[in-house]
Amino acid sequence: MSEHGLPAATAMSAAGPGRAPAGRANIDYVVITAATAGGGHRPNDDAIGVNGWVLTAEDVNPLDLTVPVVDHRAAVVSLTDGLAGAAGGDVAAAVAARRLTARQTQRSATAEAFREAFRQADELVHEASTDDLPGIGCSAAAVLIRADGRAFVGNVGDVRLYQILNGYIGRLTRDDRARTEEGPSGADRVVTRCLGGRLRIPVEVHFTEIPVLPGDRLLLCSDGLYDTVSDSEIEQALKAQRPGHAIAGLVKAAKSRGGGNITVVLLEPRGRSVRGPAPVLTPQPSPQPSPEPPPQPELASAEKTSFLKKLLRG
Amino acid sequence: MRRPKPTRAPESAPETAPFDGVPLPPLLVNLVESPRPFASGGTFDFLRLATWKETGRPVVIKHFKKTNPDLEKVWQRWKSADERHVTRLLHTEKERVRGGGTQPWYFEVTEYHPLGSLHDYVEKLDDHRLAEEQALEVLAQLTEALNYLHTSIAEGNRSQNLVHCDIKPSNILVRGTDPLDVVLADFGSARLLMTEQKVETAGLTVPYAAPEARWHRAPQMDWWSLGISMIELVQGFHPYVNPTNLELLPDPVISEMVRSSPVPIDSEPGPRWTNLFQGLTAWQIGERWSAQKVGAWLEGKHLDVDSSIGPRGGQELPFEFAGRTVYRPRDLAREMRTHWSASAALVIGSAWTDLLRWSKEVDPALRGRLDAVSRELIDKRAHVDLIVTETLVQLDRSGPPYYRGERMEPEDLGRLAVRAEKGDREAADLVVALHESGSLSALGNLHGRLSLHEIHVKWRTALDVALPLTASIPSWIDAIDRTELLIKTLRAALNDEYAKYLSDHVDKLATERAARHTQWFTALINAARTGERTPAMDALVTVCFPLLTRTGRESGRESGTDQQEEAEDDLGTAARTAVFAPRPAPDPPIVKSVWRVWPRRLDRQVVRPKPWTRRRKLELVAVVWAGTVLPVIAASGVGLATAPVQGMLAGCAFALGAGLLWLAVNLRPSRLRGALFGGWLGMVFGYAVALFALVTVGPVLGAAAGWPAFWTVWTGIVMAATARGAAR
Repeated sequence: MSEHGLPAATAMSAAGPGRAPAGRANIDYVVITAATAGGGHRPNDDAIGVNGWVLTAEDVNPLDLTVPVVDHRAAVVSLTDGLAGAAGGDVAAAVAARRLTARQTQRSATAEAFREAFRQADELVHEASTDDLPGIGCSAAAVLIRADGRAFVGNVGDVRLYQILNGYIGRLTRDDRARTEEGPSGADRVVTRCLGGRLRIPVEVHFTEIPVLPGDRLLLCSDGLYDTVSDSEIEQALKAQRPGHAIAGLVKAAKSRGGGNITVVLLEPRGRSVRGPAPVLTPQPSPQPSPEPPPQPELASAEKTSFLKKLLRG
Repeated sequence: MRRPKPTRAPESAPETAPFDGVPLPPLLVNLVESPRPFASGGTFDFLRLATWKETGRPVVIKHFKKTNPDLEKVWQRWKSADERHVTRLLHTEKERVRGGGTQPWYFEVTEYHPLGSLHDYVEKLDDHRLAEEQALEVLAQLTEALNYLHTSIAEGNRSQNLVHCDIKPSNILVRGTDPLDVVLADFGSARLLMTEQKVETAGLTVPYAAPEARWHRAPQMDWWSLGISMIELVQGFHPYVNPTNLELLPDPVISEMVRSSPVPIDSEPGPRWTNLFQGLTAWQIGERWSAQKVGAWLEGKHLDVDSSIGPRGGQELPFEFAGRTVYRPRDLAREMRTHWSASAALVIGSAWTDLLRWSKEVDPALRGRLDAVSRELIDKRAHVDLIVTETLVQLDRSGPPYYRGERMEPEDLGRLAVRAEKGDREAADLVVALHESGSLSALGNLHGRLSLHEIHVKWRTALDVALPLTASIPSWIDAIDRTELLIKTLRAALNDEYAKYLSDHVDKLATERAARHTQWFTALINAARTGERTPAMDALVTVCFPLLTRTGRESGRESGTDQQEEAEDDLGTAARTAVFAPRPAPDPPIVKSVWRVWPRRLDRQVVRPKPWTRRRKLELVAVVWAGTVLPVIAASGVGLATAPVQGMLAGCAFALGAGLLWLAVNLRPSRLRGALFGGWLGMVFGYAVALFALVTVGPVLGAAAGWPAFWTVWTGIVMAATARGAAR
């Protein structure tokens, strides 16, 4: 039984695009670019977790990080967002971020360890509740990227993870939230699942496994962004600008539209990749043989190669 | 654990409500006395309290507008039902409407239970939940009551049995508390079993409604509602509450959660109760517990539960896409064609899972085809546009060809290419994306769109010839406009007349001065015009022509000159090779004649087209003057002093020297250029040495020996200098 509620046999094929690795990929490191802005009158309750580090800030310049990925240690990045309207959201976010990206998750780097990280983060957030801060909770999304190009994505609540392919943006996470009444502001929405909270319900993680290739892009963001900036605007910004400028611009745009607690984290795996065989379409319906392709200019390629060699030799 | 007081659903009725003045019907007026306002319920029903004349006991009169098509039959069954399980229905009556203007009022009279509903009873408890013994008692009684309704009420005739359709704590009345005695009430939403019902949601209480209630009403939905009710009664709060403040979530949110995930169950009541709750709220109708399994559970058994989510039947299921709800694959394809970015998000994101699940329900064959898309395209990381196109094809093979929201019939493609060639940036981007994704081929799989596949093959074949050659353009030249090449080859693939226009255009370009004087471009033109003419090569020549002017500019640079010249050679060779490769190579010559080699070498030399600057013009004048006036003067002098033949030879030597000098200056560094320079220098210095030989030999041996000595020495020196220049 998968986290999607599908029978195990169908869970893999139904887990989203690119479920099986295409070719081979070696991820050597992940470039992380992050930007955040607080909510003004109350502290920023978003927290970024990177390999056990917890980053929180108010209005700061974008941050660039390079996280190495090796065989025995994956890169784990999370974004947690304290429940709005409740005190202690920042505490819950920090506790969850620390556990989600902790060393044991990096080291084992298995799907089960990744799920277990969510379960334990839920427990820790529950335990962090006190009489002064009862029922604190947070939304969370995390991604674990392994050196072999496999990545695990999980989320609870309303933090999102997008994947950007060929300039298009697609959401890999599922929101656990709903609108309570008509209205443009996030205050009209409620989170229906979270880590921690008043109820001790076994945490249900939306889990997906995807392949990542060098050059792919993943975007973690809190509701402060996507409540005010549309997916197509995010898509356009990432297409047109360099990462740092793009996410800084997104945060700025969200803030200018009244958003608060906006955090955006862009992840770019880098390394070497060996593409698999070219995609094959379904058999063509052509009743007649397709025109004979002309002979390939093999010698032309050879000439090109020799020319390049000459250039390289200077 | 003490729970905070939960906020209840709207079903919680206010204790009093204004009497709306609806007069009681004539029969009922004679049966009751002292009617008075009691409470209001749903939208159309109102309650009054009265005294039943026959027994003197209080009764509840409810009047409402009819929304239940089975109402009269339900009343009939209810009246005959066992009082141990349902509250007693004493009287029913329909208002007589004169004039047919409005819907009539319906009246029903039931016995009054002063303890109120189970909801009211639990509200009054300290922790808002039943003790375990009470919960077990309530469960046993309700199980028996539901089993009675579903199977026994009409003594074996299943079509006469009832589904309550609205089980919830506020519709369960408390008849006594010691022991707790409960009965079912309010059959306003009930249906007869096995009755074909149009799908409608009127009368449903969403927080207690089963996932299938949207399209199907069956006894199993009562068991789901019982499960939700028991969760609420045992754990002290409804399962679908906001975790931060325990307020009941809005109906649409609950509907979505019910449809997509297991019912959230608090762990505090313990695993035994969790087993019951999960069994009663099993998503699959066939796996949901009913009287038999609940009875076994009450006996202390732990039973297996099915925790799968998602329908298995063949109902017409909705699919949400881009804010719209569709029910058929064809409708989804229509929406996808007009919402391309949303379609891309669908194939990239987690919603693809939903599509696969939905497709399995609506058409298992479609699921198989989409699985193939997953396997062959998504898993192999094909271009997103191609995945979307192929998905569209699989959803609706009879649909029109669309790509990024644009219709893609051949004539539309033609218009697109024309727009792109005229400089429409958007159209050009579309052509590039169409090429990169290969979507045109996928569109060819639509019914009746084979021509698109053929166009794709022609286009791709042409580009297979042209694109490798563009890679040979050296870096010092501005990159070739590949977009223009794509557009021109697409137009040529679509239209034979355009292909002919390209061919004619190349013939015209071949006559241009810049074309004739640029070796690599000449090679390209020759390649394009030799053998079978291909639109791809014609397009490439057309696209490359503007590079000639850039070549001229680049030649002014000091750096990169050697690279430029080598690259020119490479490109010319590549162009020749691309075209001549299909032909069988000629047999190699046995003897490589110098005369067969040099003309080719010469042919490869590039006369660089320099701009005609003032300096170059002066150089030309000097060369012309040196090549004509000086030889004439020298020839005249020598002829007058000696013989006309001598003068003619001297003039030719001067003219040859000037010509060699001009040619050497304009050639790129090579052996030939070195030889020419060497020869010219030899002519100049050789003249002085030869003159010395002449004045030495001539006076001694006479003019007959002096002049041959002069020409011999001079020729020898020129040849030696030429060889030395070539060697350097």
